[in-house]
Amino acid sequence: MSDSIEPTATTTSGGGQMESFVYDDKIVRMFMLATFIWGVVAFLVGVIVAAQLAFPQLNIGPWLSFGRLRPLHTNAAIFAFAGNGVFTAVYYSTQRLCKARMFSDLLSKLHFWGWQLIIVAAALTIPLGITTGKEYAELEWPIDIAIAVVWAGFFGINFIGTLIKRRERHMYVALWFYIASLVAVSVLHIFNSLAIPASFLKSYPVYAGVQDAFIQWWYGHNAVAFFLTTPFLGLMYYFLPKAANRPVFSYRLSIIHFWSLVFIYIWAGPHHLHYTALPVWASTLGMLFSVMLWMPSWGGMINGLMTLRGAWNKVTTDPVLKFFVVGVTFYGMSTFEGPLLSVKTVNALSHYTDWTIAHVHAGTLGWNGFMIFGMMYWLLPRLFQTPLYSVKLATTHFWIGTIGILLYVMSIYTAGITQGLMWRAFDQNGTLAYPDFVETTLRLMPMYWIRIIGGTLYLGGMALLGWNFFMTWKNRPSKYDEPVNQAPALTKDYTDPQNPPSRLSANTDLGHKGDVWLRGNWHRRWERLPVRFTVWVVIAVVTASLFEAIPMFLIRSNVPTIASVMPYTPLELEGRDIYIAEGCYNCHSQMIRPMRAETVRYGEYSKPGEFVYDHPFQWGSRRIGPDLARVGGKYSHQWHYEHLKNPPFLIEGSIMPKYGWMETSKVDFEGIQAKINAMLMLGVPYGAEIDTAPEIAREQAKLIASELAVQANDPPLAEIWDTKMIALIAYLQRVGVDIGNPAPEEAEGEE
Amino acid sequence: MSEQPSNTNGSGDAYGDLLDHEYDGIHEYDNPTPGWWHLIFIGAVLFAFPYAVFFHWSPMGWSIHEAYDAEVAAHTKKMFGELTDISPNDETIASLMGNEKFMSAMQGTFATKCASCHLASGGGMVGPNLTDDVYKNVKSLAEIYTVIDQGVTAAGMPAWGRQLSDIEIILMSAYVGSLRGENVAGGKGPEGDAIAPWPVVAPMKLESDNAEATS
Repeated sequence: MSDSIEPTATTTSGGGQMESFVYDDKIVRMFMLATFIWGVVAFLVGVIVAAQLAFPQLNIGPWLSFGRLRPLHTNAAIFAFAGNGVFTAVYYSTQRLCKARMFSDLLSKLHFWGWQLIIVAAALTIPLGITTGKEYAELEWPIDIAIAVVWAGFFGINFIGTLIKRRERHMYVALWFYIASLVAVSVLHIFNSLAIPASFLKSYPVYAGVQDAFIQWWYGHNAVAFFLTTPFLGLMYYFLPKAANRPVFSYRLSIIHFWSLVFIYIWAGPHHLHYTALPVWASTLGMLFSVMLWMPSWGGMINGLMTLRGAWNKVTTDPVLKFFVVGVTFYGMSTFEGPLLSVKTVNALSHYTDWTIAHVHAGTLGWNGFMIFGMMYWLLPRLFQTPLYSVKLATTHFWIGTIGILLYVMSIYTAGITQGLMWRAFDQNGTLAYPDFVETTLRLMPMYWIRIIGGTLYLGGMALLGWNFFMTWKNRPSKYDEPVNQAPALTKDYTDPQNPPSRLSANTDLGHKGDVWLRGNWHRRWERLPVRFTVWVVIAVVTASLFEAIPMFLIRSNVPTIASVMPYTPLELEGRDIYIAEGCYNCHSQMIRPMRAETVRYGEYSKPGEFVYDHPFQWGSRRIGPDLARVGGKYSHQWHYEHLKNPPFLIEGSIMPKYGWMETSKVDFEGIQAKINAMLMLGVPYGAEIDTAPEIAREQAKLIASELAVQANDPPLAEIWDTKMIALIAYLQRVGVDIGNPAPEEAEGEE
Repeated sequence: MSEQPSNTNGSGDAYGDLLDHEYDGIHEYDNPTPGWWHLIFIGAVLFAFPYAVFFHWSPMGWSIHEAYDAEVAAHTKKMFGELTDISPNDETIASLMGNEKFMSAMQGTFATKCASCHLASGGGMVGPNLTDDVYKNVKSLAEIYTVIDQGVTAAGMPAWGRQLSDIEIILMSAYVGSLRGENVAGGKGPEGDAIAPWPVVAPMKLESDNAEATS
């Protein structure tokens, strides 16, 4: 077997005391099983939410409605399926690349069970509507703390500890990518999740409006970078050359694409917020760094595909390599498409449409999914020490999965571009060609049906993997062979090899020095100093972050104050929490861009100063339904009431879930005081009268309910004043109206 | 680029020289990074900085908001340029009711803003039927303007004065007025009182009528 330790290792290392060690493969098996199980969950929920868009009657009750299930799908796909896949790769390859067992078996176990518990907590809280309302960071503060402890604490110490006690002098490129993932995800998660708790399961982020949006997409974009890209590049760098049994194409390319990727990726987050109320300078930075990111990303693809030179014949027979080739190809396509979508004018069309959805699914289904499947088919015979049950089944999985992805992305690309073009189409009079939003939704239905087929095929492939997994496991030996490996300990007295001579024949001294530098021996030295290497990664990530974050928070002109913008009333705040809990932001944006097609449809474009009390911001990222930034005052209470109860009754063909249950679900008025207090801590100027928040909320609720009863000509409706229905209507009627109000008197003298 | 680098182990094959790196059986080639890769990477960097300077600091750059304002101004001029000095009285509104260009534009606006309560046909749903002959809050065309502009809070009719310009509201009043008596199928039952018929006035003379007639 090619992965047994070569005896030549003793000659290349420092010649310390020979030591014996056994790899911990049990933990790898556990992570691999978890990857499979959560993969099934993630894909199944994915198919369900896809079906809910085509068949809205599948929204069942509050718990299984699209707004709550969609975050469950994304969190399960990213953190449960891809996360456990990453840990499988890290725990298997790190031990071998370091010639060492993991630093601590206890930490390995704590990491595994801690992570699974977090996932279970997520799977319970999200359908219950317990959410922060920030995409891919929905989990509430106690779970956030657990994530920080498990990731940075258990996993971080275990991983870095293994690097420190390694027996291989230099760290291979896969480990660099693992280091970057560990460090960056810790920083991103902690800073994006900073919040003030209002109760055990409810908190408000410390950032508001524009700044919250900035931090959220700094996080959101770099979660893609450091959770779905860098660890998978590490996975690729280990498993692809192992499976192909070929040397890696270019060591120098690994160095340059690693550092450029780590440094440049961090800047690109604001490309998620083009044309929004985010300052334009940040938007420009986001676009330019995304364009610069294209080649650093492709460095990984080149090193992946070019490593297969001399092994392409194997691709025809080996499903592992098939998965890897298609996975890396999807990586290449997604990382070309990313910079393309970050160009402002392209983004003007694509933003809020299914184009983004297609883009991320090409990435997750194609790149993350297929890299994990390839790895699993390679690992199954090695971890269960018996041949794979069926290569044919694995190949079938590959083809079903590939067809599934293609059906998914092609239909959803079509849907995205179709809807984007319909939204902006004007007739010859300069009025909207498709004034009724629902027309643009109904047009997508055939594409949504195809998506369900694609997703089901992908899930079906997973069933084949499950069968292969189970049958291979069944054939395992009664007792696993645990070979004892031997390698000399590293000694301190290591001298780096001499720098190679300059290759330049005639040049200045500086030229020669530059040439020697380009040969990369300095980097070779870093590769044997894991702590220093980690520090440099931290510096790269943090510096890039601060370059954007500091001006974002310090320059006042980024968010010009609007005197008439006031904090939400206690009832409106409660209504806003209902809006967040129901996941309304999954389908409705609250951000009108400065384009005529938007302002004609929705009203005046959104200004930065309108969001200063929005903890969290709710700008959204996809318009499955229309934008709501100016919904306040646009409809009657009665309209909202009828619409929430039965959307298709008012809007024929509407695919929105029904929220009639809110009419009987009571508001916890006494609980509002704690929320207001949390807001006060965040500096929201509520003034002195605010220790009677429940009373104030009750009064407003009764007023709105009585107005509703008059509008509907139905006096008993006034009785529902203490329900979530009224609180939500109170919030909806407030959204986006302040800007049109006269400024309060105190504000005079400003400017 | 390099014939025989000192840090390779001298072995290699048609695909490159091997470095003396070995990790769990994985080797690495000393291949250079592809030239086109460098060119595009450097090209992207060289594009980025001049672009930022051009877009944000040069006189040739433009702001997204200025571009938007210009777009709106151009549209307003094109659509409503000849209507600058009209006021919301019965005669003016009545004189616009027959104008095909404006009424078809308002049909689009009606579908965006009003249809959610009054249906695209005007037949009414949460809001009253606008195609019958009775009215709840209106006795004249000018009062339609007032209702659209200021809303009717008790009835849940929003005030559109914030979102639509004066001219647009005048035109919308004309459009709503023109729906009277259409009695679309499936319309909501009558609410309110019968009122006097709209005044009969000559259509407003507009230059664009001639332009369209010749085109």
